[in-house]
Amino acid sequence: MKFQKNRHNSDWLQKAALEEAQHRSISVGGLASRLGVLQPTERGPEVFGQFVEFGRRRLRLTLEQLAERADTDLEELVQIERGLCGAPSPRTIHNLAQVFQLPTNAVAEVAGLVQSRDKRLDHAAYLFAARSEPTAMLNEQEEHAYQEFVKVIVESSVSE
Amino acid sequence: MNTEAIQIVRKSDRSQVDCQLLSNLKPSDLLMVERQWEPARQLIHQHLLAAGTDRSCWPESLGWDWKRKAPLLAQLAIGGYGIVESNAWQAVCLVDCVSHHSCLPGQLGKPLVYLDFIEIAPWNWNVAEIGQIGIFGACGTILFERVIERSFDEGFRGRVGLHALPQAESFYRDVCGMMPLGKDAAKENLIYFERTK
Repeated sequence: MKFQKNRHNSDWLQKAALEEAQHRSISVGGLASRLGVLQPTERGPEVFGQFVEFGRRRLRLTLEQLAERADTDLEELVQIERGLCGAPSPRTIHNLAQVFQLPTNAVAEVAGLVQSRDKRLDHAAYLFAARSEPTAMLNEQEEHAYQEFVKVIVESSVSE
Repeated sequence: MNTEAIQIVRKSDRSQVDCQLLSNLKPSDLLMVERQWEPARQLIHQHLLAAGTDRSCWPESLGWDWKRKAPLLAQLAIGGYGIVESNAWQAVCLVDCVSHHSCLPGQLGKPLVYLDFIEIAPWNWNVAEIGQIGIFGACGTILFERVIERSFDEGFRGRVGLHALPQAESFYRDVCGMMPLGKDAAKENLIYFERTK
């Protein structure tokens, strides 16, 4: 077909519609490849959340302390750890990588922000998710937090 | 956004329908477009599942999810075009005019317009497996023509490059007259196509 300002020509338009219909798709993959959308990982944000939580606990930091050290919004960090943040900001990724002393790009890959270049990362992420399912009893601090939360739940249900 | 009055073709009766060609689309606008397209995507997905269609025959961009890429999209310095009819996005594209150069013999290293993204609305897709022929036609070809025009506007003499998805290779080769220059390992082995005047 000729492509020089023909879009206002009725014959060209009809021909364009006919020819386009002969083909399955017109999609291109440049941007999708660059941003890791082409072959999306089925790994959800939960794995990244667990990864951040474990990284934080290894450093014996509270969420508030990690937020401060990583100069990150506490609300975003809570969402990340809960697996509710589908798209952490690149700045957050960078700052968390600094705190955990890991390469920024690797952390971005775990977060699903960029396509994994190494397929082993996907497998390792699933293994990590599977192996980090907690089986231990709650420690004293967790038990206290749990009881406090249950207390509020019970009180709020009574007051309804 | 700048608008230009154009027409697209209703496939059912070949009638031509008034619509707008919008310029200056931003990458982040893709999220707004995708929100509008998402229900239609899901419907097609459900129909394909119900029909037992082999996954290899599914539209290749069916499962793309741009929502998680919002922060990255917001940082991209690229722009594009879209076709709107009755407040519905019928097709959109994004182009990069600074980062790519020709690989064609005789044009090597010359600047070109790289078609980074182009997609037509799911209700316009041709999905024979579920009996869908699509509502409007010519949307993709019109956008492609606008991209070539942009190349001339930029002084690139009509040079355009892109990485086609496998299901779209025949469109760019046969309809757009582009030259396939081989698989690109840097783009997950998609075939790189290029055209010049």
